[in-house]
Amino acid sequence: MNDQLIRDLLHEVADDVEPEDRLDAIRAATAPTRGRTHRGWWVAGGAGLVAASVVTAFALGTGGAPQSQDPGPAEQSTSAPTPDGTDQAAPDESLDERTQKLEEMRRFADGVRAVYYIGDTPEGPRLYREFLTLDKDDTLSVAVAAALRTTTDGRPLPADDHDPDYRVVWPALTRASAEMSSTGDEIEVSMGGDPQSDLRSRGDLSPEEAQLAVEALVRTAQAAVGERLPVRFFVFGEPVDTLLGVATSGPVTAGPDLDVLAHVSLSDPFEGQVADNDEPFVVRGAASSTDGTVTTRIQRREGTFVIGQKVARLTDDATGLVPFTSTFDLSDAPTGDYDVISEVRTPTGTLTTDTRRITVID
Amino acid sequence: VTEHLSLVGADADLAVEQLYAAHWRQLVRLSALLVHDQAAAEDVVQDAFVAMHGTWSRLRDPEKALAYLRQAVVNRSRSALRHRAVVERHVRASSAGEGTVDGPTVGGARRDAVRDALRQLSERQREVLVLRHYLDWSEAQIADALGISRGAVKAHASRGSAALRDLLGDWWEDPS
Repeated sequence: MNDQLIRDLLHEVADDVEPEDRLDAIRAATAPTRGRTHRGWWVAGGAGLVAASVVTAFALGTGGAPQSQDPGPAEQSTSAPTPDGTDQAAPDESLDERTQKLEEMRRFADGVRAVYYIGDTPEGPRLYREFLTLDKDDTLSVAVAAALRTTTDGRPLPADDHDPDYRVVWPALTRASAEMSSTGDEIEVSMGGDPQSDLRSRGDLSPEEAQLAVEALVRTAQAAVGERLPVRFFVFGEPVDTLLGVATSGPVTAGPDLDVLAHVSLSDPFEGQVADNDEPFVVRGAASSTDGTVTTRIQRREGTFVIGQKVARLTDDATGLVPFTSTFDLSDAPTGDYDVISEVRTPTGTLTTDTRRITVID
Repeated sequence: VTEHLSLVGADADLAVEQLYAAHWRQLVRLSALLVHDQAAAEDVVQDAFVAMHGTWSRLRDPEKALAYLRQAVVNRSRSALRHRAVVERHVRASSAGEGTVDGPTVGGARRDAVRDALRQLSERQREVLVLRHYLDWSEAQIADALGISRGAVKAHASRGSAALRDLLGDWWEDPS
């Protein structure tokens, strides 16, 4: 009766619509928009994320998010006393430190931010960072959306240059945006897109993964604003008590670095970077290791032949990751595809790595 | 079913082609019911297909992909509508009362009446009625998709149909 009538009327109205063909437009929009230029990240349609051709770690001492007592984005925790004969973690201390700080400030001003993703380690899932160059007009929202691998208007980011070892575990349609609270002392992250029940409950995720998924947004938002501010979550505009089963009724703060972050995370090179073998090749990252060193090797993608290996000594920092740098001479390296692998030893005795794929050219 | 099965393991391009062939028309019609504008509906569904292509690695299943497309179309139709509401207010302020001009047939007039009535419903009422009666979704599916309770779905549905009946007046009495 009533229902059937409504059904008939709706179908009558709908059937009157004869859609035009858009298949070509869809094909055009989903075709690869560029060759393998290895220039970093591009977003078709310019939705806020631009190429990250070179990236440098900033605020490495806190795992990417400067501490709240350090208001400036370029502030860094105590830096390394120069170590001994191994490859230097901080050569020429004072100059290096100052140069690095200036570089960090420049990058922050250029919109380079850490975005956090889940990756696997022998200890279980942990967060890794990628450094992306974000639209300076809305860095916070763009960063939080990028943590879901989407643009701010909910389109998926191209998969090409994303490190395939990292993943996002939120439901496929999840969207997020963020803004500073009116009081300026909290970050407000608004979620939506998926059915509310999917956003609120853990679903098939392990408790660890669910916790890390929320943590990734917290840390990404904090890194975007350059301050470790508490994060308040909303779903469809309303405060939400659980996200993926994680309690979010109050403001959420970041967990301890060593519990949450992978114990080694590379910031240079970025995934897919092209390296000229005439230039010194610099590997940078942040790490924590029980033996105080991080070993980086560069090996051919095929055959895994190692063309170079360096050990960087880390300064003692019981609470977090500390920056390291290793520089390679690639002048004898044949052109081709390589993996850059940095490795540390964790408290349980396992080895954790972070890997980037690069292409060496002449 | 076999057509769907053949999609398993297919790459994103193929998934788009096949889902387009099977569902483009219905999805545009669904969106058109929500946004009252064919071109806008085509934009919405085109965007949904592009998004689905980008998310294929996380879907990898034609059933999920179709569910994703429908959900994306509902969500995006809502955003499109909100965006346009602002524009329309300005237009209406400047140009008074230009209605849709259509053919003189009874069917055409009734369709116009239904379209107009749908526009006058609240956003939620319209969404609930369209999902319930055009897509034949259950109350639970609708509650999930819209992020509201099942009670709210029931309430919107009953208020929506009552409003529709009032708005359609004579058409309702004599649907022939």
